[in-house]
Amino acid sequence: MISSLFEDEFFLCQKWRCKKLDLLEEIKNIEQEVEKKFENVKDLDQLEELRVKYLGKNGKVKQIFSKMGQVDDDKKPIVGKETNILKNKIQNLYNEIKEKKEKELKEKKLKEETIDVTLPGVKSNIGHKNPFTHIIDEVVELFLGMGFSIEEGPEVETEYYNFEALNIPEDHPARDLQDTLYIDDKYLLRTHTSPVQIRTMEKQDPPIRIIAPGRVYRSDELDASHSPNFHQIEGLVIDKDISFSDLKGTIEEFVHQMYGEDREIRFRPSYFPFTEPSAEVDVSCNVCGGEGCSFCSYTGWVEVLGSGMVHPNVLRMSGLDPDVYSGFAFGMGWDRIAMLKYDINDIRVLYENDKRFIHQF
Amino acid sequence: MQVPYNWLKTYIDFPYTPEELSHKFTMAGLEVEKLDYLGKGLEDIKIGKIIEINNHPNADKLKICKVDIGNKVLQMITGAPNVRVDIKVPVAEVGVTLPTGMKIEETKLRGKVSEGMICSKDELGLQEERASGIMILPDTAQVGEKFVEFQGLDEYVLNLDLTPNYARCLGLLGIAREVKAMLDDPPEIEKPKIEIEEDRSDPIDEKAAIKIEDEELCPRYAGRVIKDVKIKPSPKWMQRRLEAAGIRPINNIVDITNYVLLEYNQPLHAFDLGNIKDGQIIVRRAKENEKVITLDEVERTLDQETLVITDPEKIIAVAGVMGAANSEVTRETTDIFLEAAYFEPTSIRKTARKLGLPSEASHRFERGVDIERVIEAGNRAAYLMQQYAEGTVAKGVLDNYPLPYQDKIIEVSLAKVNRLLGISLEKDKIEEMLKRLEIEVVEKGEDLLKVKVPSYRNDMEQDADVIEEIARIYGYNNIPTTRPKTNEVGHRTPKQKIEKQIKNLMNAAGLDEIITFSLTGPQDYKNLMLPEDHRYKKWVSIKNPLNEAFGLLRTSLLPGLIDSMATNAKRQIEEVKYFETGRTFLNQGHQKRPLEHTKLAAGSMGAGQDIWDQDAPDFYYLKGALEDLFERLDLSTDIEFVRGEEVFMHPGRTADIMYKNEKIGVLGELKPKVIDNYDLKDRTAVTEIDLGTIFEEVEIGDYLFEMLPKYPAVDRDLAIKISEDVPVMEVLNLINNSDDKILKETELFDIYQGEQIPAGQKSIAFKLLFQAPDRTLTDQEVNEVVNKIVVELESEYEAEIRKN
Repeated sequence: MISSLFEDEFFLCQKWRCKKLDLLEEIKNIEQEVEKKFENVKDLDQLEELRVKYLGKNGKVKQIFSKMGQVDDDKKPIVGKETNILKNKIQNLYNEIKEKKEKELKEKKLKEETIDVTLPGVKSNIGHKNPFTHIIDEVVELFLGMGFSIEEGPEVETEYYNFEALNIPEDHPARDLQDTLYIDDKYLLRTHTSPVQIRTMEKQDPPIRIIAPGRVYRSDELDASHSPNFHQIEGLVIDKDISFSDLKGTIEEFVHQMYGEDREIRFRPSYFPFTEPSAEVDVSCNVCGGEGCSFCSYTGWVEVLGSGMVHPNVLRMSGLDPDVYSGFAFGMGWDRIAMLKYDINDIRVLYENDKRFIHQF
Repeated sequence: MQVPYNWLKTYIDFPYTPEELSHKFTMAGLEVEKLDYLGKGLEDIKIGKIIEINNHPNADKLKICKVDIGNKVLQMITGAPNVRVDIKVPVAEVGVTLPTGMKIEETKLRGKVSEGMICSKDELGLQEERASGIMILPDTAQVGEKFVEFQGLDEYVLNLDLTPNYARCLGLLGIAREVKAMLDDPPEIEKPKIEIEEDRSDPIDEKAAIKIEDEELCPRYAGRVIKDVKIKPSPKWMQRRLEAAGIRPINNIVDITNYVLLEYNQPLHAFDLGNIKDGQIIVRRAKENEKVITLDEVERTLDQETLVITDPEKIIAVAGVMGAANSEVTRETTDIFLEAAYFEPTSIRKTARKLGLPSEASHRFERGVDIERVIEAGNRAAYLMQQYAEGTVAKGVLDNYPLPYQDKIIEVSLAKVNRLLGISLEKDKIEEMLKRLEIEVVEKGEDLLKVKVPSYRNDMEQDADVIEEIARIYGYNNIPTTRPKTNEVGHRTPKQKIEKQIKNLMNAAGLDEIITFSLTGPQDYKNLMLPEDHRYKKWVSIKNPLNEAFGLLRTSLLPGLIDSMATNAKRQIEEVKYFETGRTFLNQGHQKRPLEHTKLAAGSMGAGQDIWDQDAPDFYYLKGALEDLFERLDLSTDIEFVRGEEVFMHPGRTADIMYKNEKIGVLGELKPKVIDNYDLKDRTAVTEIDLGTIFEEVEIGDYLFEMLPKYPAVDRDLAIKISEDVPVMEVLNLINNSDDKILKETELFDIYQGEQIPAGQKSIAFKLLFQAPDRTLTDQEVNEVVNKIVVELESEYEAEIRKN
């Protein structure tokens, strides 16, 4: 287009030859110059320099406009038009290159900002729950879901709550089952969490459904499987029409949730003075899967808890009529659950509190 | 109770292998702890006869023997000095592995083939020390017979762990009854043979008499007299059975009483009749401080609670527990007075405990023997003495039975049986089950059954006991599973919720939870170097401790906590942040219930650096954790940490924790000496708080929304120079109290001592945050408050405002 215009100019400008030719020539020169310069721009700074040089206040385009006064009036529109075209062209070129350069720059920056995503994150050092707490949280959630409440009782007990009210009279061979630590003639350390059964029945009318976790004490030497101080979880349900099959259903649910759905369960007759009938509950050994191994003494079964229907003598002593109310109770070693569940082979490690142990939970 | 399988089989025929029987027993409530095979590892040993011996051509000490093992003759080489032609010996053929683990292979000894081994006792695992030669068997051994059969080792022993309600199973006949109850079409129990040929010319009442002075403690006492016995070893078969049952054979008389004890669950005692004055037996209580020398040759002092057997002059036995040395059966004994009695269980138990003499006899009397079978057991023993001690049984039995057994009738409701077990059994079915257990239905109503329990079932008192038997026969595992119906909702108590929240918050603050023993010992307090009157020493002592280390109840969680940190320090784990919640016990005096408190303790060791640059990282770490805890429990406004004192803590680094001006705990750095005692890292800090107040005051979930601010906040920094003795908290309180309208928050952000600050002074800097709920604050408003604060600080503490 410029070239065609140019031909017209040539014809028209015989008279104003010098001036006319100068400006159009200049525009043409600038145009060529600009194309070359912009092509070779290295960075945004250079680009900016070019912008100032051509489009700035004293830039070359402005200079052309300022010479317009010397142009023949009727030619002014053409020169003006040409100049505007040049200006737009430079502006477009500038924009285009600026955008391109900026994009390049951003990409370069992003590239430079690459980090090693495999470096470790900043830890918030949250403390670890004790394995006992993990177990009890799980057990409590489970029983809360079945409508049980959580009870507690004193660790220092009397003969009455620890033995007599549980149908273990003095000089009964059942007292041999647990070696008791005494404080004096009146007080002793509870040998099981079962006294909480009695305390609950005293303060609350049926229906009762509770679990009672807590510490218990026995006169046992500390070794890999015994400790003078350990933990139990007691359970008690009393209502009208509670049956042995309710006991089985409740315990089965518990065992499956705690030890896995695939574990087999068996109930076998046993003896606890405060329940009748009494049942020991075994689950299939998880080490050998029931084949028999040293862990389960080659029986394929592992004892997990004791249970039974609350003995009528116990109900009577707590003021409940065994012909109206019935119930079941169960008790298990909390330490033992932890050991079975987490594969711990020495009870002492639970109380030693090595940080490396606790940090496994 | 050890039950030899084959012995049991002589009383009842049953189709179970030892393994099956073990399982059946366990599932019937007689838990089998262990099943042993006595001939373990010896199953393949055969009996051989040496028929020829030749010297080894290449070795002086070796002999080449031809051994006949029944189906073939093998060549074996031995170096045993006692090898002879015609003797019978245990032989291990090639391929057999001995109990010692040695596997027999065909070998060449100096060029001659040996096709097996003639064994010595130690090689068979029958004795520990090395035998001097091969084992030579009696000539009655049969060539080719299995060694275990000949030796009586072909026997399985079931180790029963019997609960106290299975007293009836402390004898093999009782166990046979249990087996019978398992069988659908059971055979009768084979009763032990009793064929006494009495000496009619010699009635017992001319030789002995019985007088019971205390009928309560001895409701039945019977006796027989056996004359002219020969004391010698009991027959081999009896010795083997006793050994299999875990009882050491002594002589025929003692062995027979033990044998019958194992059969009938009836302890018997044989007295030397010659040493009973006038044959007069008197059963009475001992006199206070009466003395007796028991069979174990220990002199024992008795009291009036003890039942004794005496003659007119002396005690001849502590009833049911142990005989006296003065009437013991010895090699010279010719006439026996055989006691068969029933003693009151509680009394026997007390005596056995008091004297520290638990025995096979007392174990059974304590649990109750079958009072109706006393005579039968006595007769059985008398018969065995006639057979194996060549004795003559005097005519008649002395039977003093002042309190005869009363039949026990129990009423059972069918509806209750089914309701309690969750099953639906018909009357006939229940009756049939009871019959298996020899429980007789004596009266049948619409719903009620009256049943008579056998005299050996002293564990049965009421309907629940009958229901248990029905459940046992029915099979626990055949009972369906259901769940109790309920409308109840389970919940935690507020205290439990708070405790759980505390544990969560402590975890969140970076502390690991530990559990330590609440049974401790004085040694756990030693390193704290407490004065005698320290409150931690008001501990509760155990009357009968296992040992000193477990001799008392903890009064504080701190000794256990610090000890746990020390355990880690010893194992090169130097950064430890622990907490525990648990109970402590405070002595309130003899026969007074100790106070149980639930406490929270925490400790920090090796925490790194503290933000205030006070070289107290552990202290400020714990303090921060506690402040967070109190804030989250919404107690902050009432909590204050004030300078405190505790003997085992650093005097300048201890704070009492106050709640509404009442001390609820302490926080501090352990003092250097204590840190040394435990070998902890420097600056280790601990805290302990009684949670009692917190349980009372905190209301979990009690939140109330406050409108969010709509107008911008303005902050101002304020730095002052002040005497170093002024606690920062005081300054903070002063600032906070100076305005209750627009001053929202005051935060300490710097504390500095050193260059540019004169000695004895410190620079502290606060950020003050101003905000109003209804407008944007003007500079002027804010400046007024700041100026007021400055004036108060200047007048109160001569504080100097620092301008940057």
